[in-house]
Amino acid sequence: MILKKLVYVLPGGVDVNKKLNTKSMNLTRYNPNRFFGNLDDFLNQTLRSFSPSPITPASGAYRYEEKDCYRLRLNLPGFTRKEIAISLEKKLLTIIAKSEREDSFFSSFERSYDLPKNINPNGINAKLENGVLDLSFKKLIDQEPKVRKIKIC
Amino acid sequence: MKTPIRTERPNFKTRAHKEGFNIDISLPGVKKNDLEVSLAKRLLRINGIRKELEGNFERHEQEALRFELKVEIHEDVDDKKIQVTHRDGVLTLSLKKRPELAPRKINILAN
Repeated sequence: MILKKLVYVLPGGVDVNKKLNTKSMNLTRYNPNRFFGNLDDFLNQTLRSFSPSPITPASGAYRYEEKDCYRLRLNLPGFTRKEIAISLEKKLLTIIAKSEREDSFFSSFERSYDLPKNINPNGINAKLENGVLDLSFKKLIDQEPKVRKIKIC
Repeated sequence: MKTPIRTERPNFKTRAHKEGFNIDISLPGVKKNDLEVSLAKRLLRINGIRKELEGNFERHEQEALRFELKVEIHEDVDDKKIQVTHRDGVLTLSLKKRPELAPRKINILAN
């Protein structure tokens, strides 16, 4: 998957990819251009030094799975609750943060994730605490048993 | 045996304004009570600990992390007027120039 090749860098310069475990791969970062994705990233990184583009956080993103939910944690220091918009379209979760304050640490942030199929769309919770956005996605619990008995009339 | 806490230098940026300048330090996940700012002579030290995150991570990301930043401040900075605010994971230090160094108007005497 393309995910393995994307580079996330923590504020301290630590590559998150090295730490991603295979279990949490269900929650994949969405990349609209799968073929040129890596090239795009490469160009962005190379061109960044030449252009005064808005500063975005080299964010730390942590994903993990619990028994009844998936969790996603994003470092978004400096953004207030009102500046962060989270939207869900089908299985695509988009997090956009924008700030025009002079004293904000970052000006904009945008990232999308493909959610796993077994998520309950009404069971998504978000919490912002000390610059860390904590999202939890409840899993759908299978109501029907896998083996069904059929009565003979 | 417990491994020692990893130390990182936090991201920070400075903003200058008329009366002095501000330092914004990014400390995501650090609670206010786990922050410490101290000044010894001209050396400003910012220490923060991000406590271990709960959740079943497998490797480093759940570990506790120490943020440490040392800044030597200029003589022109008024060390008695340092203000610190903590909001949304960002610590802002507001440093001001000594009042006697602030720009002032000089009156022209008429004959």
